[in-house]
Amino acid sequence: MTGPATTDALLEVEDLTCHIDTPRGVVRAVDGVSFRLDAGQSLGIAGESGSGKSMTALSILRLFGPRTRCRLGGRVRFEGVDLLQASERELQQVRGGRIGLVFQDPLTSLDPVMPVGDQIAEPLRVHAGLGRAAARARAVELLDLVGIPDPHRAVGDLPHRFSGGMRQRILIAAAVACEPQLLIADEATTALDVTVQAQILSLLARLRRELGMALVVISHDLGVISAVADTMQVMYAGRIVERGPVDDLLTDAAHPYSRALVRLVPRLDQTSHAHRLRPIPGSPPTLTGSPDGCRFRSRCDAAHDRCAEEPELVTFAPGRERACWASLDVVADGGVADPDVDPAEVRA
Amino acid sequence: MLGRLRDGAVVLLLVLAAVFVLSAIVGDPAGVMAPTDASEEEIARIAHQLGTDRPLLTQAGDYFGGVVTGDLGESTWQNRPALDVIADALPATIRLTLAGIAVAALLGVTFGVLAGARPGSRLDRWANVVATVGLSVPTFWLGLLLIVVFAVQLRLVPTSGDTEWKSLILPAATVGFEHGGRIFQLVRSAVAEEVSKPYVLVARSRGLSHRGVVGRHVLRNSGMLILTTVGWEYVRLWGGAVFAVEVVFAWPGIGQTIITATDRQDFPVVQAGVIVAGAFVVLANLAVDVLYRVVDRRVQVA
Amino acid sequence: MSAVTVPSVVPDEGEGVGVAARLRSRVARGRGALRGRGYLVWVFVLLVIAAFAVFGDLLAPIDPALQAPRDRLLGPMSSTDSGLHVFGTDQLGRDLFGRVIVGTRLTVVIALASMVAGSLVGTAAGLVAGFYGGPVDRLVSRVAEAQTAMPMFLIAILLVSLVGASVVNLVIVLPTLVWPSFARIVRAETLRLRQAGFMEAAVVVGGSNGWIMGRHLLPNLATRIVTLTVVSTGQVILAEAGLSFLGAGVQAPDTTWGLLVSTGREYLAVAWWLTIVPGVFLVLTVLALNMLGRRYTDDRGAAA
Repeated sequence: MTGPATTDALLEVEDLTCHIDTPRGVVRAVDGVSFRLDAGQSLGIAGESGSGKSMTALSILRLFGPRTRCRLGGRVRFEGVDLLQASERELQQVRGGRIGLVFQDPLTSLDPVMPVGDQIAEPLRVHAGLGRAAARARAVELLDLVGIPDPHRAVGDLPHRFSGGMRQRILIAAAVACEPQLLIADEATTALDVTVQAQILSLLARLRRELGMALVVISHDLGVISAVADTMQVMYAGRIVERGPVDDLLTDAAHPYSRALVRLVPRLDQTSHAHRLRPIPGSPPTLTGSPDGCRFRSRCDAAHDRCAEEPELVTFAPGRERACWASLDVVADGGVADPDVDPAEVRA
Repeated sequence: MLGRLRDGAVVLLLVLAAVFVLSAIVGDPAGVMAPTDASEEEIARIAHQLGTDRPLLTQAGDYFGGVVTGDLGESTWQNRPALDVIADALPATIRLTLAGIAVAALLGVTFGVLAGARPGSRLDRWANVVATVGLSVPTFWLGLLLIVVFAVQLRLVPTSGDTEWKSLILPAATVGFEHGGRIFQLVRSAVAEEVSKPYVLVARSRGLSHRGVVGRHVLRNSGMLILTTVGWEYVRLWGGAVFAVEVVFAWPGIGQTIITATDRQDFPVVQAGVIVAGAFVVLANLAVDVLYRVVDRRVQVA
Repeated sequence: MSAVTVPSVVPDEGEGVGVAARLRSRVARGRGALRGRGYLVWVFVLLVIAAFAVFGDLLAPIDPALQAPRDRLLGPMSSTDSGLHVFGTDQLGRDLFGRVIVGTRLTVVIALASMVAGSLVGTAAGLVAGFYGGPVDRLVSRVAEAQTAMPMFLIAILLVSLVGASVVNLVIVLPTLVWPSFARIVRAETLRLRQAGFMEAAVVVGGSNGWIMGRHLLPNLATRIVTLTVVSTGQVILAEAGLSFLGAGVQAPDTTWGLLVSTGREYLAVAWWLTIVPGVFLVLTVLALNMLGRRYTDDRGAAA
């Protein structure tokens, strides 16, 4: 438990690191991540698998399985309290109560032998101390809130009676049950059909408005992020490489990696050969061992000598930061520029 | 359901048939029972007494007829129906198996859940070692070891027999430790697998403690498996392990009776004992099966 | 509205919960290898046992057949004119350590013979059942199931009471305890592989049934069979010990560890080492087999 709140930020992550011990060495899943989130704000975190975006979320709440040996560093100040120093009991109060989490796979995220109503009621009973009847009533309200038809009957049903999309709604209901200040959605729509994705995303946006929650959306899908987030940050190999307002970043990314990611979004109006997809050469780093300069170096068109030293996040325009030594022009010209990218198209 | 009943009946028939085949065809009870220097005529006389020189079909008829009516021959050692001899010994065996499975379940399930809930922890590693050792130890030797330590050296319990309530302790402990090991392994792996499922992490993300999740979710999901594991282990008890323990502790149950009868060449009692024990194995098998289905159906409907 | 997905240059194995789980399982598997060198102890144990089995009384410090009535029932680490009796002497004054060494050969031989028989029968039955399916499968499965439901131990005792106890009987009865497990695993794997589709490919290429079974199925089964063999050998050793203990197995003058325990029982109150020491050898051997079996499984990552 650490000292007095120094800012008004809801969540302040400072230099968060998560190093995991494996027989192959130490995996630096999260390696120096800092960001800040104000109440009611919505932040998107983009990146590929292994970029550390999900591990960031898990690290904030220290949600690791019994077998994972990981070491956390840095500070995570939530409502003024450093979660990394908090006791397990204090963390339990935060989880579900003040911070809600929605995960990726709705088909395996619910206890198969417990009625969904009871699972939604769980956080209510744990955090709000509601009795069985009161919790159940609230669960019915929540089911209605997330758009489950016939909530009075649904409350007693087992998960297998619901489709993937419905189960994800149920999980969202359980996550917002105690009206948390912050909701983290980690690839919440990845396992769903496109149309269902859209429904879930609009549900999240609606809940954010109605409950005044801050939202962190983690996804490898830029379209998802642009649909719900105001600001976004791109992660690569455990670090943030660029950050800024969603529209700005998508139109004119300032880091070779983010630029390449945006380039990879296939578009129906680009049929000419000049606009073919350009996959990023090479493969993501293994995250073990100490980094040797900029981690994207080996796959970057704009790499040069300076890159032997690891770049830090630097503000280069109001509200925009990037971690790269190459000049903006070089990045823009690096063969991966596409002046036709329109965030509206991406969002569509 | 009826299928299982039919299977059980088939097995029972097989046991009966096996016993018959062994005794009437393979075996030579007369030769074994006769003194070693007996002449051909003496052996033939004994065979005639026993009825083993009659045509096979007649013997089969008598045998199976006898089984149905409950007449399994006369004990040559005690001069009363063999079935009675066995029936007298039955309660002791039942007590031992129940006490044994209780100990085994207590040890195995408790530690299995504790270890499975925290795989890789120190408790888990130690428990695994102990369980493996338990499975590597011959039951009868473990019993003897316990006797040496607790009965002979420390004089805490009687060395053998069923003389007081304390007599049950060592035999039950022997059986329990042996079978507890296997129960532990199965329960642990089931719980460990359950604990690694996504919904457990999700439940914790809602603020439940690890212990809370295990209690509220994991146990209910694994419960069935745990129950049936214990059930099947009980069936295996009847398959033979408990009888070795009886011999070691001179516990007056079926096993001990059969062995003594073998020593005294009281063949009808041996036969009756194997039949009854076999019947019990089949019955226990069936009971566990039924239990499984009943519980399973309840879960499905719920 | 259609969301657009960025094709990932890395196969998307799923984030969040998936990543944590993957890392977790990697850690768990790795720890076995890390803890590592411990398994060598068990290999050493088995080598010693093997040496005892092969060389028998040549390795005994004191001639195990030497009876010394004056030195009967001496405790462990007793010294006499014949030398140091590490584990004491028995009721005839014979060195217990030597007796145990001598008993090793028969114990091992019976166990190995039964294992070979049982595993061969079981594997063949499982292969045939899984491969041909239908009535053959039903028959084999029924027999295996029925047999596991029967009190084999007791039937073994019955058999002995009828034909007398001998090594031959043991080698007939013991495999029956073992073959159902082999049959079950082999059958399950065969069925699974059959559905995997590459069997049809083999048929199309023109392989005969036997060839398919030998060249394709067996290698895939190898790991599980090896593990099962190692662990089952331990069970067979214990079963033989149990039967010999009850008088239904080996008879004097042959000797196995189980029989030694049995004969020592008479003197339990005065000479505990006669029963306990042979049992320790049993425990160590079976434990070594179990530990190595598990270690082999951990290494290959196959389900035990």
